[in-house]
Amino acid sequence: MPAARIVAAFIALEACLALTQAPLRTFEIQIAERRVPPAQRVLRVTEGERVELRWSADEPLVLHFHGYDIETHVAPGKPAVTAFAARLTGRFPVAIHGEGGSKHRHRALLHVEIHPR
Amino acid sequence: MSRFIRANLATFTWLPAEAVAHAFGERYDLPLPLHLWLAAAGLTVALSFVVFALALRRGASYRQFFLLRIPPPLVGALRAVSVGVFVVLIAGGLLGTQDPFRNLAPAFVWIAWWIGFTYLTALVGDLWSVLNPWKVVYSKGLFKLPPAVEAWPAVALLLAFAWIEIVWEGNAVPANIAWLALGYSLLTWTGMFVFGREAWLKSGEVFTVYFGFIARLAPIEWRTNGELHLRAPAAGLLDPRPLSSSEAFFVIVMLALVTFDGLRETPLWAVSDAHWTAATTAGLLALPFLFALVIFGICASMSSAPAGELLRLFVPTLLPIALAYHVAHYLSYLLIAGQVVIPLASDPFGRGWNLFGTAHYQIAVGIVGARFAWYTSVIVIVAGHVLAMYVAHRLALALFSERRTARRSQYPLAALMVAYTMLSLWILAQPIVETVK
Repeated sequence: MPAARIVAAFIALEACLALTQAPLRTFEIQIAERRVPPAQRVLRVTEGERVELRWSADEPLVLHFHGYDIETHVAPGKPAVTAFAARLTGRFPVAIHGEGGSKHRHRALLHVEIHPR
Repeated sequence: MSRFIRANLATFTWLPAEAVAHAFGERYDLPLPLHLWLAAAGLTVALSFVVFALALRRGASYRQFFLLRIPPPLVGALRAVSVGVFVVLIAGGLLGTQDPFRNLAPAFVWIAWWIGFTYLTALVGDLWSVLNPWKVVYSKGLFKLPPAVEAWPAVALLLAFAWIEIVWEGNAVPANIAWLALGYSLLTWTGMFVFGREAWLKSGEVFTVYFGFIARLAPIEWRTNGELHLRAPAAGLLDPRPLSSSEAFFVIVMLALVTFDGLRETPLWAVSDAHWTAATTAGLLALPFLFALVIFGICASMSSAPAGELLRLFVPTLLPIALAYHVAHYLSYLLIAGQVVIPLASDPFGRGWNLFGTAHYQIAVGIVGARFAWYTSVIVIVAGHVLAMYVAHRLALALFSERRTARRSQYPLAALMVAYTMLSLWILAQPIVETVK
């Protein structure tokens, strides 16, 4: 399907442009006892921005950014960065992998809200 | 529904390798922004006045055009396909993997059928009357169903189904779905055998009753002789015969469930984990009675006619508002999470098959964005409100001989409709909270 390919190429191009030209938004996030500060439970950015979530944590964790599907490993003394171009709008959770154990205890660490331009 | 979503979300954290299913079952909706909320609310009120000014045609009759007649062999073929899918789902549930993401049953039942088929019915009419896999049993019945039973079994079953959908923790486990389907089949076939097929379809087959009401909104009318007729959307609600008490309560349960489903995802329903099941069960059962009380109160102030009779006549006119909210709430979810049916159709049991070559389909999360979700929500909700107002107005003009009495009867109902629409919009403007439980 050529049309689909063209669309895919455009999306890729847009993502590249976004990565090179768009303003950069950074968030310094400290995870303590598997929690983030209340003010950072929802991070708001605008479509098209480059975003960096700079993590530090008091225990080794695997973070999963749903929707964008990015996995980040963070550990004490080993900060890590989740970097992405905000091209999908919506409200996407970042969750700790393996959190809880029981399927009902799962909760998001925080949400990234990507608002349309 | 989102109990299933939550369950998915969590199960996935266990299985980081499941790339396909990662996006499955999650909602990525942004709350409706303030300016759109205000625009929609303003439009709702303004258009309510327009309906009052323009809906003057007397009577509840409506125009329709013959479309086509479905050939009986096609009906047979469609039902055979439906029964086939039903058997695959049950077999998959019992024999396939018990991972809800890699088995077709949970995604098909909770997303494709329960949400998708509802919208399909609203668009093309009462397809369920043809596809219903339980209709394969033919029986005149051994006993006559006592008239007092009405559709109360269907009401009870709708509440039970909603409880399974919203509250029950095991609702995404494939084997549970298969056993429930088998149990329900046994119940339905017993009911059909003992009381006759048609009698049980009307009073106990909850999905026939449910999709039957949804189909009243469709622009296509399905007749029992297989003829399809084109009509205006929601014209099926222009029925001057009042419902039975049980049918009216069934509709009220439908209205309340849609609202409750949205409400319990808002910060308002911030119940602690320990009390979640009990509180949500109580809320689910209480809200229909609260709705019934409010609607009865409104009907009592409509005119001097008995409130119960007015309620049984006018309560279906609220359905467009409920369905519109349902669409606003679930359309983007259906379009994104519903894609999971594509890979799972090729591998329904989760055994690594690739029957149709779609097993490696990746979900496109970006297919709809926030802006699409917002604008469709607002348009659908305002349109649903206008349809509801218009239909109610027409019914009133058919019922009351004096135009002034008819108009006066609509003030309280219009107020209720505006309030119900506003409540839907308000819920959409709330952030979705999934931390509880």
